[in-house]
Amino acid sequence: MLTDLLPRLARHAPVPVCLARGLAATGVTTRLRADPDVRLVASPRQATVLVIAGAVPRAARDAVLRVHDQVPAPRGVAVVGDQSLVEWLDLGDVPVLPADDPVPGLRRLHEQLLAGAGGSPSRGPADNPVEWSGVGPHGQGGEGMMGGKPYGRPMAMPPQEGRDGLALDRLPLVFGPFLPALPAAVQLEVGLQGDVLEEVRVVPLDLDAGVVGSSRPLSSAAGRYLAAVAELCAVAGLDALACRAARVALDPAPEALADLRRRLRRRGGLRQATDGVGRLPDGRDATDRWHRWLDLAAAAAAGEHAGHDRVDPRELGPALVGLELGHALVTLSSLRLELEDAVAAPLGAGA
Amino acid sequence: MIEVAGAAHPLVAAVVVSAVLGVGAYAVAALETGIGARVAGHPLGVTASLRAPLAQAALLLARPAVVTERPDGPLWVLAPALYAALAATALSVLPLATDFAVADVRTGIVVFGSAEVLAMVAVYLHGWAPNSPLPLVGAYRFIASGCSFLLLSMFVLIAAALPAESMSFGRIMASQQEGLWNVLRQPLGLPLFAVVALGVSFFGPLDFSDGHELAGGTAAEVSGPPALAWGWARRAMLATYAIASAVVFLAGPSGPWLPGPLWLALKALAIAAALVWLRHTVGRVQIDRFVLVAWTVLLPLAFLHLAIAGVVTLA
Repeated sequence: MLTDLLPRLARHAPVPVCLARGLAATGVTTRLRADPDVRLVASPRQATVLVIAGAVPRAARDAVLRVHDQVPAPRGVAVVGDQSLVEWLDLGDVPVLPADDPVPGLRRLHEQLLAGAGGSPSRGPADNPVEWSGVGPHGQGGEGMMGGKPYGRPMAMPPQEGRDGLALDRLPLVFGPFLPALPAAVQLEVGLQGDVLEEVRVVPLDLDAGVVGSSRPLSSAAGRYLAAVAELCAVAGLDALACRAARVALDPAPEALADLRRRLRRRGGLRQATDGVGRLPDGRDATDRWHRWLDLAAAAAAGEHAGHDRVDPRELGPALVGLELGHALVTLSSLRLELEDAVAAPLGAGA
Repeated sequence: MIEVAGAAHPLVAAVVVSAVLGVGAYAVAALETGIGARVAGHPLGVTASLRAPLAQAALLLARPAVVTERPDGPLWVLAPALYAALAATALSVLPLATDFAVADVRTGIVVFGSAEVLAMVAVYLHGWAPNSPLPLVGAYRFIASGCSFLLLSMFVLIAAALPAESMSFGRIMASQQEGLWNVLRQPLGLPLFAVVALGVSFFGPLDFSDGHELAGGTAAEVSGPPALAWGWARRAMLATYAIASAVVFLAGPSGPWLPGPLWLALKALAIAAALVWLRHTVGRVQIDRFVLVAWTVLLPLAFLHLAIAGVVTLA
């Protein structure tokens, strides 16, 4: 009885989707963000369906499969655009959804899972690829509870002499390339002390081997700027405003755009998360950057085309040192268009 | 030890607390859906807003829980249970009708304060237990911000206790039946207590531990029923704070014509709706800026608030 009732009720919930986004995937991202029938989740653990979209660098194959396995089984997988991603990732029988209307296909997949379909099997090894080398029941592999590389992943270890006599530890980590707060095809390599970045490298994925999948950016320039604003809203915790921004991005009518600008520019809104964050040598902070996106969107909607600059991710590292991790991610999200265009430049593709 | 209504039978207490927390968390979730949809520009009807939390809960129950590599399993299970138990403890000292509280002890605000301080432990455990970096960073952030908002709570609650000449929430409610509501005679109290509510429930602008940019923070590795338990517990905590705010500043169940519990529910719903509206319209505050403002502006304001309340009470 209960086993019947749960799936019936669950079908009314929005489809929780984890998006593994390649380059030039703003069209799909924005359509999913704008649709109340879909919820773009922050972590693969919260998803039932993994969507792979855009032009995915071949260097990201293992990363895609890791995200795939992080979605709890039974999981649905869908590819947006063309069949090449399915063959490249050896995904078997997964649906290829149209880029301009992916939601009905996702809804079908979600309902099949709730009805008991098996979903996509795990792709990675069942065991950890590197042998366990920890010590004790919670052994982190080094001294006591600290340090070492259990399963090949380094753990925090205090330095010999901590400042102020305190033994502070630094944790080396790599985030991305599919962390939602990060621009596409970018990884963040950090040395983390607590939640503060001591060491940072923003690394674009290697595109020498090329990409797989099709580029489907939004057709309107105003839409692309507004789509970037929508993603920044989501990163700042404003998912409802992100949905509104995405809807305007799909149809940037002047009245809707003016209303969105008014809402976003309110003192207590998005600015709470971005004022003073990620100030770069050009003197602009994250707020200045999304204000500029809004201005560029308004100009583009009025038929004027003033482009934006590109920012080389490799030059950003020093500006992020000393920031709290969340601030660094907001900073990178506020440079989404500029970074993605710089990374995609060799392909001749834009966000 | 009993100040107003006496302690309820343990069975009655368990039923009442569970029911209030269950309905309260559900109401918060429904408000999140309804207000969120309005902000997003596709308003939902009342029925759809009320159905959405049920559908979401059913979806989470239908999904599997995941286990990370070498988690601290017992602590991972304990964290949401502890957090919900703390919400229940805080709720138990609040009057739910003019003549009923589960345990309206003379030291009510001490019990309430203890529960909110221990919430730090529950959230930290939830970030620590999965053995994963982003949840741990979320846990760090909650601890880093915790002292900044928890101190406000004590100043605000002690200020409310002064005119009541008691630390019992029942007496604090009764003192407003005889005079002005605290929202009028202590106007700084409610906004300062709202900051505490958002902080302890890590909700909206003060969601430092479970933010989207950290892929869900302490909840980045939970799915299925544990995700439902965690989401329910934090909404139950927010509901508890909405009820506490209604009791301390809006005279709780007091009011003409309607039954006391209905008055309390209406006042708590209004406060919860305001907090949910903030969640959808105010971006996540930067943690360092919040700590700075909390220590240099909010804490002095809270102390001034307490001093004025003391002077007014003595006069």
